[in-house]
Amino acid sequence: MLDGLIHEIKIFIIEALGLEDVAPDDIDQDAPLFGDGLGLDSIDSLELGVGLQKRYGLKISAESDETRRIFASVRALAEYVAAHRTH
Amino acid sequence: MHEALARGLARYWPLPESVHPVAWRAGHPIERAEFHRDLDAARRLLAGAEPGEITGRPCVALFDGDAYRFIVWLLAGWSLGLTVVLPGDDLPVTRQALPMPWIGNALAFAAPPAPQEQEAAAARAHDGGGDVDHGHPGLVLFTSGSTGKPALIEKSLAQLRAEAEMLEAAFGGELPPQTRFVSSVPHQHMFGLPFFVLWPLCAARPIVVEKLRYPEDLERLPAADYVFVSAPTFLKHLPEAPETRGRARWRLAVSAGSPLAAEVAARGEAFLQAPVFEIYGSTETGAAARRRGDAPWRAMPGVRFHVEETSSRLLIHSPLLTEAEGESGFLSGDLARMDEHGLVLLGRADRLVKIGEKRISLTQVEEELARLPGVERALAVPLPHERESDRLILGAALVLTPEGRARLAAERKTHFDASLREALRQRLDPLALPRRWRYVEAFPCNEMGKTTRRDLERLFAPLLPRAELLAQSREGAAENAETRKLLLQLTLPRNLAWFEGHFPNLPILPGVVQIDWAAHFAHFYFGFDAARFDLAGLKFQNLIRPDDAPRLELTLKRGGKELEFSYTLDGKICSRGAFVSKKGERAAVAEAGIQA
Repeated sequence: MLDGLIHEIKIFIIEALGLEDVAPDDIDQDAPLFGDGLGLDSIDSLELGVGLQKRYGLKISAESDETRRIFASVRALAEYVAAHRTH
Repeated sequence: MHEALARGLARYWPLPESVHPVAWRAGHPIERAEFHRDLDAARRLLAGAEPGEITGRPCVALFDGDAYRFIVWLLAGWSLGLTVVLPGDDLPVTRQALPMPWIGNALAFAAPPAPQEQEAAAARAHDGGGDVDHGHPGLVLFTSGSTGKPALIEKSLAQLRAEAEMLEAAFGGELPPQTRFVSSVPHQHMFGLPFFVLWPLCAARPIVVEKLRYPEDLERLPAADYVFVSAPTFLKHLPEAPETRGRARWRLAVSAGSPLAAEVAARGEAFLQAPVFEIYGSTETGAAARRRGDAPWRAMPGVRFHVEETSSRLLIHSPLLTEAEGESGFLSGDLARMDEHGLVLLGRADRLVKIGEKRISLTQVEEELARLPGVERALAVPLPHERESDRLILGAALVLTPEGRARLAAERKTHFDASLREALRQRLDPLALPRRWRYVEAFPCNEMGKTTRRDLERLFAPLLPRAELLAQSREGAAENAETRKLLLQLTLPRNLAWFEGHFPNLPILPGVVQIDWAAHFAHFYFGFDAARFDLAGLKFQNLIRPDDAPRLELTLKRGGKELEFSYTLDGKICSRGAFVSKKGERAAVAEAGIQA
């Protein structure tokens, strides 16, 4: 179940951020989304947060520690979405 | 020499009597007497010509590749009260643009003028001598125009003289009296002119007429003290072997024109065994600062710097500016900051972009890119983001070294991109990291050798449409019989690369591209590897044009052993086809477009 959601979220990230030449398989589900790994920046984090809230009906707090935990990796993000999604 | 000429010249260009000789040609001195004879002859010829007019003043255009003749013509023109226009070249188009007498090169001043002209000329020469003041606009130059159309710049004799004196004050103290000036740069421009023509003239130092073209030319110079007026393009070819230095005793080298890499400067100093100074300045301000290696810039004598707070642009206060300009200073196009050691230049202001709230210097990004292993040359190109209209992203256009090319050939482009981005992360703000990567053999350039913004942007034209998932479904329980369907709404970017030239007046989406996209999205969503399948049942029924918003339906059948695709526009079918198993003797279909 989580695997499907992980794949879905990878596609969501690639589409939302317009990552070029990146396929879902290129994203390591355990690698950090920001900093290393995908190399997303602060504008991306905002875009992604807003996009996810809309798509899954989530509330992501502005509190930075929690945000860091949620966006730690695609897997962490998928777990958070699975637990908190409202649609 | 005419008394009037002597008086006139002495007034705004006092030649020190000690200039001896004036120049060296082919190892032989040009003595002061010969110089005065030439000057006299040039004056007479010039006085016989009907001058042109520029900004309301009588003028002639001077272009002469020979530095000695150039000086003679220049002084002859000034002594007659003429403004001398210095075009950047003598191409026919430039001659057309400056309809006035052109002197130099073809016109030999040694030829005696006709007797009746001589008299008139002598009379005019007498008149011309005295009534010119220091504000006399002695020169008209043109900026290089790297920021657009070349601009006309006027320089008064007082300004030119002040610059020559400034250079002597900054660098002349250590030079033995008969130090010769030798150059590898054109003397028509606002670096060669003050450093190689005006400074030696003013400081009573001889020049070497022959321009240095190759590093080997250094070896042939006779034993003497020298100042070298040069540029990075020449200095970077200096040999490492000091035994090829020749007999010249180098006292100083100056470089301008383009940034002088610290390692080139260091090698130059090791070879010449003399300080190599990089000069910062502009046609408008003249020389403004100098430095050795990568030390901070030091202002030239009398020059003061300010950094404009809001724009970070460098404001230059210089005694070389006219009084009117001097009030407010000259606002340069360069970004700078001042630290405790001095001035740090940060690149051109027009090379600054804002991403998020952050200022990003394209020059800095390019420097960091060029330092990466495997990268030879780099350009950073700001691009509008296709998804978020309000943000810019950076594209990197790179020319790779042979090793870089070998690495790119050996791994997937995505991984190569990521490795470069990873290496850059240590040195650049995350916002400044390039998002689009293009590898080229050479940068595109037009017939003038310039790389235009438009050509660069074209490199980054998107190859894929934007896709939005409208619906997906899954049927069939057994793994082998499962069918998965996907409906994508495609948006075609206006600058989609595939529309360019296909066809010039009727852009349509090529059929092979439609096949390629189907393969791409099948891989993206299903992990389907189209390269391992054959194409079948291709039909193209309706055209897809730039403003269209087609939908792509993908159907993965028989548990992943077959994929059907179809493009529709408002429910009307445009094209369809399928990827089927390779087994069997199916009609071979071109696979050219299938490599996703």
